[in-house]
Amino acid sequence: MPINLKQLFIKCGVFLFGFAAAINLNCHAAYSPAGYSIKTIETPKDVRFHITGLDIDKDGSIVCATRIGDVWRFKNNAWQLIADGLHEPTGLLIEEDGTLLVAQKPELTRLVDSDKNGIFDEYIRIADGWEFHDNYHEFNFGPVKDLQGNIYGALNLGHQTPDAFKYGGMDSAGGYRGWAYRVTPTGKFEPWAYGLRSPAGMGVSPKGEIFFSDNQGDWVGTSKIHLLRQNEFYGHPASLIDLPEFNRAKVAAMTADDFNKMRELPNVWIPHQEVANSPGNLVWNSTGGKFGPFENQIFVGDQTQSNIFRVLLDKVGDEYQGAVITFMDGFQSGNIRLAFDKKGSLWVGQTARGWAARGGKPFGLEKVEWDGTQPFELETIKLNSNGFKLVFTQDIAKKTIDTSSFTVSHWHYHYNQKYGSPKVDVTPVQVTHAKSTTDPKALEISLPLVRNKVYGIRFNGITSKTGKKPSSNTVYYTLNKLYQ
Amino acid sequence: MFTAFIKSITRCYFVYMLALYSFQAQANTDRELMLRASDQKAVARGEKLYQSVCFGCHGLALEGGTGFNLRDAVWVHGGRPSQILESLERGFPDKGMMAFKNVYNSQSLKDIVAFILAKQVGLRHLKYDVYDGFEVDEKKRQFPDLKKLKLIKSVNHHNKELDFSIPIPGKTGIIYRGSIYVPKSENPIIVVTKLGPADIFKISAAGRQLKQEKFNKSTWHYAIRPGRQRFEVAYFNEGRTRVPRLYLKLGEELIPLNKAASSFEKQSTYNIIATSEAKVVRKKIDQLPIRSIAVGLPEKINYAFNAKSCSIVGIWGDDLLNIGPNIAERGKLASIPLGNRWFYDNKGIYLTIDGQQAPCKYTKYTRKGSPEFHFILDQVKLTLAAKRVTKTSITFAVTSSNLKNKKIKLNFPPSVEVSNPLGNVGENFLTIVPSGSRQFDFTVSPNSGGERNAN
Repeated sequence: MPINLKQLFIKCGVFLFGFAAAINLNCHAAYSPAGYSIKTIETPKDVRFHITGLDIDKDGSIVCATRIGDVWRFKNNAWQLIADGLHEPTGLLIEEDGTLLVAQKPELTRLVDSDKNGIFDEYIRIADGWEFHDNYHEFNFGPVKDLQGNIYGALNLGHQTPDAFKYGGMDSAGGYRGWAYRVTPTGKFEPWAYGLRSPAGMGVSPKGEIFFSDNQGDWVGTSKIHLLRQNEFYGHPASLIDLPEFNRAKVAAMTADDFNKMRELPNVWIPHQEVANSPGNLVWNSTGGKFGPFENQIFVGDQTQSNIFRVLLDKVGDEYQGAVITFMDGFQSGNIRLAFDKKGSLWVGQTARGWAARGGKPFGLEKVEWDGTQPFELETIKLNSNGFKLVFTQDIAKKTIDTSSFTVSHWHYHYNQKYGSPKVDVTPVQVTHAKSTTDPKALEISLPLVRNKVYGIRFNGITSKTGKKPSSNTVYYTLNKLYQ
Repeated sequence: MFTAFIKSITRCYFVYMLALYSFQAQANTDRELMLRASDQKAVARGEKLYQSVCFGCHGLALEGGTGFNLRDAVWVHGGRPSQILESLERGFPDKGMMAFKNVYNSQSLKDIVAFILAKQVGLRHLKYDVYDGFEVDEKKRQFPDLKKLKLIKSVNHHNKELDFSIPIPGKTGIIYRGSIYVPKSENPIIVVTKLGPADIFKISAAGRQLKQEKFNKSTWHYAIRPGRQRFEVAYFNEGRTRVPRLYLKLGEELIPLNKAASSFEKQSTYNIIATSEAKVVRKKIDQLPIRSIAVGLPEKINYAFNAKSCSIVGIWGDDLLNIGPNIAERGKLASIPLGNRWFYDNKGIYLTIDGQQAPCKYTKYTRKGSPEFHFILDQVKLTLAAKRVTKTSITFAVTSSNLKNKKIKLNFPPSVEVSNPLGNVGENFLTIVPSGSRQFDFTVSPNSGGERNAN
């Protein structure tokens, strides 16, 4: 017979209640580069302003789509409701002609302000070539556009959808759930790639390459970033049921080994907790230095951790791989959407409804501004034949360039239907050599290199020539491919 | 025979010892974890881990989200400290919780359990007694002498909530006894609201009566100390139908303590009402098919156009929708149409042209004036919009540049009547020949034999 808590308390004769000292973990940033600050924007009073779509117009006005289904414009410090009634939009893109593309659950929609009065009065169906089953988890993420004018979106799997096919936690009732799609300039809907789980963020590089992030869960050991390519399988088997050569029974009979042979490895793994839990969209810093030293790098917000991290892409041969490193935390709510404005500020759309965020506030809008102060942080990391080259934003104190300044380990993740994966086979790695280069901001480390591992490189001992320590001191490099 | 008996006894003994050992081990773990819950350092370590690892699913304040509420009395997977630890260790991989024994060491997991134990809040193990024969003295508001009352019911409540609606209306009173968990907080208080002038209300905690302070006309505050303590609430009234609401207030947070309070807090209302102009809303809507688009007209009649079938799948009166359930938490629940239903029907009112059952292609809607839906049916471009609305009818206009000599058949459910001056009415259908016009109208009104009348 189970004994309840009360009985146990009495039996033990112990009057318990060790109450934790009130530790406010939410208000203090653990890492933040010098010169960067967060500014909170007041959102409309008494409006549930969970921002899940964010873009910046040519005139600098901020356009937000909210989960309740509104679209608002922020201009001259005033908010205007410009559209409403949408079905939980999770992405918004302002087109060259001023129309708005909004990814709502059942449809990719173009909003048109036909009489130019500021209110969008036409809601045009651009694409709805997928099945939507009214399941709460069936988000439609995106849209992003490549240089040829193709539009991309990504369709979340369902969760507890009636009559769905389930292999792990998430499911598909069919109709391209767990797929990415493309819509051509002529309006043709094309299922594009599959195996996605909860791809809460997409992004397009300055070269027009489409990337997406996917959230940790079943078949996703830890959150990750992929380059999106046509007809590739990104790991979650539920989506396979929509391929003509598969069916539910066939997929159900397959094993993790079978799927493993088919899947694309992530370009970058994002270690859970240490960097992010629920990454959002990817934005490239193309501000021409207005946002500080991290030009051409990818910034991603995290909904759970209320932080922002950087993605440092590396290219070995023809393949992208690379690293992640935390950038800034201490935001008020869950960071799900980012956008750079022309002045070089990074706007952050936030929500915490249904999925809690460290920041504590249910929703909001903030922006990160740089005041011109040069921080001392890791700028880039590149693989070389013996190890890695790390470039910092300021000159490094030569005396700290020593193997003792580094703590390195590597690991990998399970690939199976269980929810998430711990780090597997965590192995300490000895840095055998650390040396400076002709560039006073750079150093090189030599260490044993093994493929298909995440290298956690802690450079705690490195300081700048002026004695500054970086606020983020661990970088996580996904090593898929070695230099021959 | 004797050997078999000895074997049986031996087997029983081993089974008994094994069970005893298992029980003892569990009790030891429980004891260890409870002691740890009184160690502020362990609780602080546990909190730090919880706020890194667990809060995403269980909430910053353990209030629940994807995962269960971890601070109330409900423990689906066992509420003993050792069971909580086991749940953490093993996880529930099929339900989205990983096995944390693979990630964190035993001490860290115990710290998390200690933190969870220290954050328990609210009522536990309630019993209640119901008394009859109470006479209200509004002037004195004296607490009755229980010895003079008749005890008519005594119940083990097995619930975490007080429920003052249990007494039979009349001269009855109820006394709840149990325990309350009050986490450390700045000035924790019990808030009682909607107390009537004739209500006799008394709260005791840790064996002493709490001092009542009037906050406003119908709200009272009772300061309470932190900690787990005995708790008693006595409530006597003269059969009022309005039941007071009780909360534990911790800082800005209000934790419902009785059924009326939790029901009040669970109300999830966000009504969309068309006042001066039409509203258009896409949401998950109760009883309406997927991809329905709801339109609310200021004249207080609403309809739903289905973007998949290009049909009108529902008409109802009064206000448009309560989208509250669909925009709360993860949005699992459907929005609720407000007002009186004329009909909801998956097929609804739909058109066929020249007898063809061709699939439709919805293209857009516009929102200048009355919302206008655009779609293509059998290669004919059509628009549909509400044109005239009375209390008992709604007239739709269908427009196309290519209706000449087309035979239009309008199908409708039996719960409404559909009419057109030029149309021929059959059983649940209407045929119309627009005779060269670019537009035809049809008027829908609730069938007097239908499900519910708009009036």
